[in-house]
Amino acid sequence: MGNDKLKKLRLLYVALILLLVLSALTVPYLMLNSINLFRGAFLFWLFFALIVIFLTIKITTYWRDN
Amino acid sequence: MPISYLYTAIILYIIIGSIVALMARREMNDGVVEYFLSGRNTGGVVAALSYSATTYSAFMMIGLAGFTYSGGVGALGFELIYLSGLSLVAFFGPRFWLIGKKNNYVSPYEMLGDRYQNQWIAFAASLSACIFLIPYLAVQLMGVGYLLNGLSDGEIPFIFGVAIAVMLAIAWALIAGMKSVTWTDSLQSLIMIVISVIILFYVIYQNLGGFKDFFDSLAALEGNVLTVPGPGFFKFKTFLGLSLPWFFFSISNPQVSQRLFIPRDLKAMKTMIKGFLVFGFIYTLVSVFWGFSARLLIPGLSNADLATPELLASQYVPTALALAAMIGITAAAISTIDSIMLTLSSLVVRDIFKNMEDNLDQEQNLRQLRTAKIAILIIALLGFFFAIQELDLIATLSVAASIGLLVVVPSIFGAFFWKKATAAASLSSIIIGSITALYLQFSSWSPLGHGAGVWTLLVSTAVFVIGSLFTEAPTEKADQFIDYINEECRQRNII
Repeated sequence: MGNDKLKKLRLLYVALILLLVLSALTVPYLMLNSINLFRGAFLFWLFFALIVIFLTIKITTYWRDN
Repeated sequence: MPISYLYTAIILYIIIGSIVALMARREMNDGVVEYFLSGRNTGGVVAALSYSATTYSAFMMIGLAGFTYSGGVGALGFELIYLSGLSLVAFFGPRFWLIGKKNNYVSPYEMLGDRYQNQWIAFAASLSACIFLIPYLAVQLMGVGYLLNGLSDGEIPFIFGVAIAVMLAIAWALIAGMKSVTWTDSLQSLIMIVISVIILFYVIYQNLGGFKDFFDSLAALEGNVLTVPGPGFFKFKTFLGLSLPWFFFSISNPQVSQRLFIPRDLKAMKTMIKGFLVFGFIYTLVSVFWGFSARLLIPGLSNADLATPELLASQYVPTALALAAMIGITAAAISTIDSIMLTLSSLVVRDIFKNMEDNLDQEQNLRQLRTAKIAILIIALLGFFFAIQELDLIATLSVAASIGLLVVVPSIFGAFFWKKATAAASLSSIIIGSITALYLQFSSWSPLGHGAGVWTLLVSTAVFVIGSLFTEAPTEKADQFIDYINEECRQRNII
């Protein structure tokens, strides 16, 4: 893969993960603070973690051993 | 709980663990790299299990369960944000691995010292790691002491539990270095996850009517425990102050970042990352469910850290399962302790007393290994000594550990991604950052309401960036280091 493409992919994944982490820090406090149920902050953080796990594994799928 | 059951369970655990450690010894080769990094030849599954056992300490089933008990669902968010920090390994992991292999680095701080061409950086970072991690290790030892003491109704003295934990950790670290640590870690991580999942399902289905009733009961509790800030502990600034340092755990803590040097190949590193993510997700959920279960079944505890020991001692958990849980928690503690001891000893040998040489002759190898073994014993003794003092100071330093270790994060980012980063900036950010962490932690001062973690990261980053703009970078080494990694990354599709 070329350097430019790698750089673009890196930026894309970093941006996505940063956005997700920011949402994990703020959304439960700003938007879910009145939902005292499983489908409130609990479910949101589960989805957040699963998406980050998916993205992290996805990044490793590009790797090739020489 | 009858004390004979406790002793039997402990003896069984010691025997099985020691057999595994001795088996590792038979596979062990000679040399420093073999001792500290298992010859850079660890398979993916062992690397994943060992990484999990090292990362997750007794904090999960005691501390995180306690946070959940008192603070509600915020504990889940905090721990999952930590888990998401593993995404950093997808970027840094292969870079550590590539350059570690090329330049024969054994410790992550040795890498920093070489990259910035200044041995004092390795020295300062290693000293700071010792200051913060030895108390952290002592708290793990204290956890085992309290657990055995509590479950035996005081019959097993606190000091006995601490002594058992420290002796096991010494033995399993000394027997075959990283190989015995990773093998015993693998066994222990399986014990941790299997036992905790079984008990969780037992408690929820046997005592709380299944998961639906469980969440209905939580929603009906006072204090809105399924929201943040909920009962009040997880106010936003507290949440941020806890989550931020832990997000960087995978690169800031040397006992885990050193693990990035050990996989056999990239495939093994992939397996390590995947395995850890799955393990971490399950173990986090189990610990949080465990804390919530205690909140429902034994409400009103004045000390939330007792949620797990009290639940284990209650009528809701059968004796056999409680014993198994005790072993699971002890395993979580010891697998963290022996890894920290081994890593700190490598820092002592390679970075504090120096010295990195690419091709050690046999005598130098032997000398370094001898020093390492003495260092393990001294570190263990210090941990033991701190643990039996039961000082508040130790708890404060231990909490400060994840914060204090943050000070190397800017230097690690700079090492891989910023050719203009300088040695003066790196050294200043480590020293000034450590002083900031210690001062804020001990004075309990929270400027603008933000905790020590936020300020330590900000201060060390600012010092690093500003310092780099005004001092001279080791250009030749920076080019060599970063260009090599970039070229390898291009060939191997590493993002």
